[in-house]
Amino acid sequence: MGIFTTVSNRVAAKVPRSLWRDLKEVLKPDQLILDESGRRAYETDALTAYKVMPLAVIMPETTEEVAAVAEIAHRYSIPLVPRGAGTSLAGGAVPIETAIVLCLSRMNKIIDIDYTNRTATVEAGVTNLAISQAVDRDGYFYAPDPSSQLACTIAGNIAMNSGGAHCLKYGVTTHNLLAVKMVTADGQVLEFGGSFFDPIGYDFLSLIAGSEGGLGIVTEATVMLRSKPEGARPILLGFDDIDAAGDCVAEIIGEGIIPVAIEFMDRPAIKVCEEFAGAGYPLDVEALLLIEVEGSDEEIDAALQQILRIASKFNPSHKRIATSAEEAATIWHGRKSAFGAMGRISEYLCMDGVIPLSKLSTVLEKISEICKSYKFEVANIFHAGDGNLHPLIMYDANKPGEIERVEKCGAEILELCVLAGGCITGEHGVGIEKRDLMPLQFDTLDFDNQMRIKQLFDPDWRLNPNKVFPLKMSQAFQDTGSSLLSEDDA
Amino acid sequence: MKTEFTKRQLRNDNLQMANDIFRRCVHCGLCTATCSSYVVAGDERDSPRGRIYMIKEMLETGSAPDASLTHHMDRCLTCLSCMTTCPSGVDYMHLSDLARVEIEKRGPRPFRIRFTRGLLSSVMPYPRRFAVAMSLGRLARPFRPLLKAAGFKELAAMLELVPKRGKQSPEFKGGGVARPRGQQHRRVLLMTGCAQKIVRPAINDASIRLMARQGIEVIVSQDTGCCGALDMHMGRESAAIKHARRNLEAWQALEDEAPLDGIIINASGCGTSVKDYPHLLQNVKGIEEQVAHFSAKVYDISEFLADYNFGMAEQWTDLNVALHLPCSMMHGQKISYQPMQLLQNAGFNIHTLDEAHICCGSAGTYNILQPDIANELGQRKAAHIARVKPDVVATGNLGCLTQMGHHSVYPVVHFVELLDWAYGGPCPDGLEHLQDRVDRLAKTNKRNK
Amino acid sequence: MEDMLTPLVNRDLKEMILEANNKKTNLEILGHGTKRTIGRINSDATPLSLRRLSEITLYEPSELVLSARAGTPIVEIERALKSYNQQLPFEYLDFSRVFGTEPGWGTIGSIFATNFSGSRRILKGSARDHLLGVNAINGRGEEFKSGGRVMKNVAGYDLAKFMANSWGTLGVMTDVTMKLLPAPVDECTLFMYGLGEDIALEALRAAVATPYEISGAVYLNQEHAHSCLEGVTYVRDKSVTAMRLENTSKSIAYRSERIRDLLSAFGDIYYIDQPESQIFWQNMRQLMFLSEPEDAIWRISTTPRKAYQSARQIKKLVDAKVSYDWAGGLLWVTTRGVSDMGSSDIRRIVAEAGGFATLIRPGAGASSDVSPFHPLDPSHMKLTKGIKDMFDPNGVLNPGRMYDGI
Repeated sequence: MGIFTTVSNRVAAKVPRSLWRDLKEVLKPDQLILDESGRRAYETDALTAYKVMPLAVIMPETTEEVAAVAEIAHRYSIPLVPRGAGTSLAGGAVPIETAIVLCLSRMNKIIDIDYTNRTATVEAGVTNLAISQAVDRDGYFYAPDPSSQLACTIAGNIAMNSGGAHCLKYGVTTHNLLAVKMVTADGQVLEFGGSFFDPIGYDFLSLIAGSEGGLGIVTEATVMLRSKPEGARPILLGFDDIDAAGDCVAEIIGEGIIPVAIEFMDRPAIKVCEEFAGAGYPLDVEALLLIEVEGSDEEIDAALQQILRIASKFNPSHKRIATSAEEAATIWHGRKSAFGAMGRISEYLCMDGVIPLSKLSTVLEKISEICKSYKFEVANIFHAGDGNLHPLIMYDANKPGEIERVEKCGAEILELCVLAGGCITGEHGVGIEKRDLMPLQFDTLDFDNQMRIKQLFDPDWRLNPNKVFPLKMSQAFQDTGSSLLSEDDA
Repeated sequence: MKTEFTKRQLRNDNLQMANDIFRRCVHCGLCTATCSSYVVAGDERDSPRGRIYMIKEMLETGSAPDASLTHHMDRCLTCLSCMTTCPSGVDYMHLSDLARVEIEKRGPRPFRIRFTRGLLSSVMPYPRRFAVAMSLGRLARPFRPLLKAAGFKELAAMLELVPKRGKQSPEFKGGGVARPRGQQHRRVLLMTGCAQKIVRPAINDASIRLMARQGIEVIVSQDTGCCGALDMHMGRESAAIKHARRNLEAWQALEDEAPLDGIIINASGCGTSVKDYPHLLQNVKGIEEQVAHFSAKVYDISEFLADYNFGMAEQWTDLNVALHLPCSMMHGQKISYQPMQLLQNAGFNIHTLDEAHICCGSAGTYNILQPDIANELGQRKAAHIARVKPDVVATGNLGCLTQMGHHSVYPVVHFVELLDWAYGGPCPDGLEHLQDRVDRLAKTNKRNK
Repeated sequence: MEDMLTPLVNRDLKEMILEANNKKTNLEILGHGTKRTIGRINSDATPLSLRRLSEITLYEPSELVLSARAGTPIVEIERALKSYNQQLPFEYLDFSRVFGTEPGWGTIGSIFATNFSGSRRILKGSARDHLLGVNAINGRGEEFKSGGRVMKNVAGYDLAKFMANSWGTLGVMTDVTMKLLPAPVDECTLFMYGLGEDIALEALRAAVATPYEISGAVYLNQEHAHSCLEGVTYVRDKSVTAMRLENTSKSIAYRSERIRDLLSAFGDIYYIDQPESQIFWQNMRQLMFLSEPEDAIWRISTTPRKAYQSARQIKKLVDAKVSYDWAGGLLWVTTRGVSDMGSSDIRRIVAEAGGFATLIRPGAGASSDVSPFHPLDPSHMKLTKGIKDMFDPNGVLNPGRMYDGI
């Protein structure tokens, strides 16, 4: 009895009481959250437009506990939703009401750092930044750096195959991941990879990275460490015209220079970031490029001069090279806080489309047209080097019907990205938010080949349910073995 | 975030304020990572974001605070680290104040906790009562295990923090005026801290000497009292307002005699509260101007002294100082560089600590009310200190000083004590073993000259 | 020439696969057959070559992206890249010297299907890492795609990268899109002669731990070194420890000096400039140091921490010579005169250290029972089998090439 009587929703009523007893046997009391107000804290992530209160929340502290819970959930056919820090912008950690949320944030130990192998092995709930901080004084870092790196966990990064500003040079999560320990839907513990390069047999790690927790629950990961460059400094280039900024990026890359990062902000975005960070961004330009290069002081100077030379063809109205580490940090602080800082002004929907660089100017123009047609303001912030756009569409969440309208506007933008030869998500993942937009990119056979993999790892489709795939198509696949919709459904 | 207040609810000033705060929050979760309770508990409900979400639910539905919200609000240290991190500028401080008042009024709390909180509120802000309690506490110290076994872990924690030996400073006697020897430049009031003047009066002595040497007339008034922070953190708003108004009256009386150039605070926990008087007293009609007038004069001692040129230190030491900026300083008042700059100018080698933004666990009365998390944070801080292997740890608030002194093997002092020492004051209590080294260094230097 | 299927369009390929399903026959998927002898050989299978699916379909130098039909010869792609000073960063391996085939004649599809990356992998990543998008036809005859032409794409499962390293056992790739990088303006190599293995590995690890972006870190034992140094000025009859720097000329000058300073305690350091450096690494990419025709060749990916220890154990038990790439992460082992080519000892030692050993070429007179691919543990085998059944339920694509039943 005790706390279990406080589970009062209609779903919980259908769950056999022995489930709670079995869970209680493998968990300490404070690892199980059943009261309504506790479960509510876990009903959503960084995409608050979606929220569903889970059946319960469990806070495991070891892989064995995760496995034990997964085994119990398997016996009772309970869906499991893994969660790290809940920073997903795509609703990746939003549960369904019959699910148990497995929150791995207590698994935050760094298990091993091995400079000979240049690897770090960490528990799932270790934050992205914590890895870099742990090895910083020894001259190493972990390369992928999503803007939420302060808070987001490594397992969340693996689930979404997260990128970041610096992945232009260093790649995204999948390029920096060497091994995982993973609990399967039925509670087995599997290991993939190791402190060595390349897979033994099929490359399961490439499936696990970006599978959004749908294939297993990652509890440990081994990632590559890289040697820190001698130094790094950004340059700010402001342009009076967006096209010039886009062309400048293409020219820099075309000339054979790969900076570690090329970030783009348009006027509304610059204003917001500047107000928060006081980074000294110019407020009178239409587009701002933040380009970072690495190396020794002399190497940096040479590279920045070369970039300046190329940029001068496009008449930048503002040029500023960071001269100190503090200045560089402030400049980055502004950019990395962009999403949150936008919250000072308005609610927003953050898009994550990717386009071929050569289509930049036309796509940006069309984005502004689309938003205008919906009467939404938009601020554009993105990783220009790899064409990953983050238009932030501002809207009033308290106004009835606005959420639906802003999602429609966003869908149009993503369709535009796919038509331009790109994709609907570059680093945030599909989650709930974009699952029904997936047919923009994939057809039935594409889905079948992906869903078969899901089916193999998770035959009952209980892991992070209702994510990634369009709901109707995944239902059709589970019913008939094909995601092809019947005429009624299509 | 979307909110669901009715128009009628929004006519309430408090709910309107809360609504504005919620609308700014984008639920991004960055605050979780730097939250002192979340790093220990790893639970959304022990993070600012989780608490904001639970407070929102409570206020929107107008329901009474439940056990879960109460529990997790009580576990918040009010270190305000989240406010430094938050890019959206969510005012967690005032939202949590609001929630605490609500909880204090209507929240479910067991008798044991209410008793402890009541005890703290009626003793700590009153120096005489506090002094008596300390003497009794020393006698009761040996009974800690018994109390713990009986389930009174908060009382046990309270006794744990009572210094083993009592030592009244010979110099600091309470009220009075310290007039500088030479020409007088400015006139300030020093707030002396309720517990501080009993537990480590040397901090006030050092502050007075340090300022007087710079030609500042320092007043210590018997009429000023507790700043109200302790009550505010426990959700006892009306008690806090009473304390604040009493101080205002005392300041006004002094100002009527002659203009005050500053109200100086050397316990940063108090500083955060005093600087927030305009908000605390916003509903008290007719005193707005007075509040604004005085709040513009409130300075942490490090802020006030930052512009002074102290010249060469009298005792130039090579001591390695681990600097721990209290949360109330760093996050509450956004004081970042001043203490470090002052100490460096005085010839100390400053080392910053890893996880500097995380609380040491003191947090006012937190280490009494939440001993488990407080102990874990204390040990965590001690480990970071140990990595630096300093000669001494410097901080800017009595609470941190006591907490770190309890957990760390390294001596902990207030930074004004180090400054005062460097510019001619006595060796701070607990650093006697370093005086020899400093003297030797001075001799070598002289020889070399 | 044996009967070989050579589809010209996807439709033909699809029909060939469907027909194999209907007739219950097997297909051996090929490009030009340059790596045909790696893995188990299935003599029943009908060869199906993609050589006629050969075209560069998209090349956007300013986006660093290229798409090609899977049967496009690598020489053709390299020719196109050269005109824009770009390159495939992962430095694919060319087995022509090992198997006596024509250099550069491998197809781009085979490079991704086998995922062999060269020395630069240590800095820039593997072939798989650069595979952005794939169109393929699976064993059921279904055409599917994954990924695309943009650098970042996390929509859906990453089947594109999963196809890399699957050796044509899951699907036949028809089109591949890859990420490119600018070719470095200048390069140099630092040589150290005659170091012992353990000392050499220490030096290499120290070099790659610097911020100077070492893009090749190899140790060749005395015997292996000899044949790899064709066209390069070198000290004979000594082991060679080599470190490559690629960057602007100024950077290289600066960085090579820093590395010299750092490694001066390890011995004399010789500077090899661009022309000879290029030859040396070309030789490495063509595996010229493995030219002894009688030897069995093992490629072992393992943990750098245990590399030396594993090599020592192997040499204790087997007549083997060991060279290292990837600063110790990759061992090239040649064995001689043992009927199982040292397989059981090597695989046991590697499994203990972490990693895997692939038999690239059996030695003369060796037993054919040895599995070319490192055996999988039961849980992985079960998943592997499950995957194979989903993509190719009738087992028509390269059956048995990797493992029994796969």
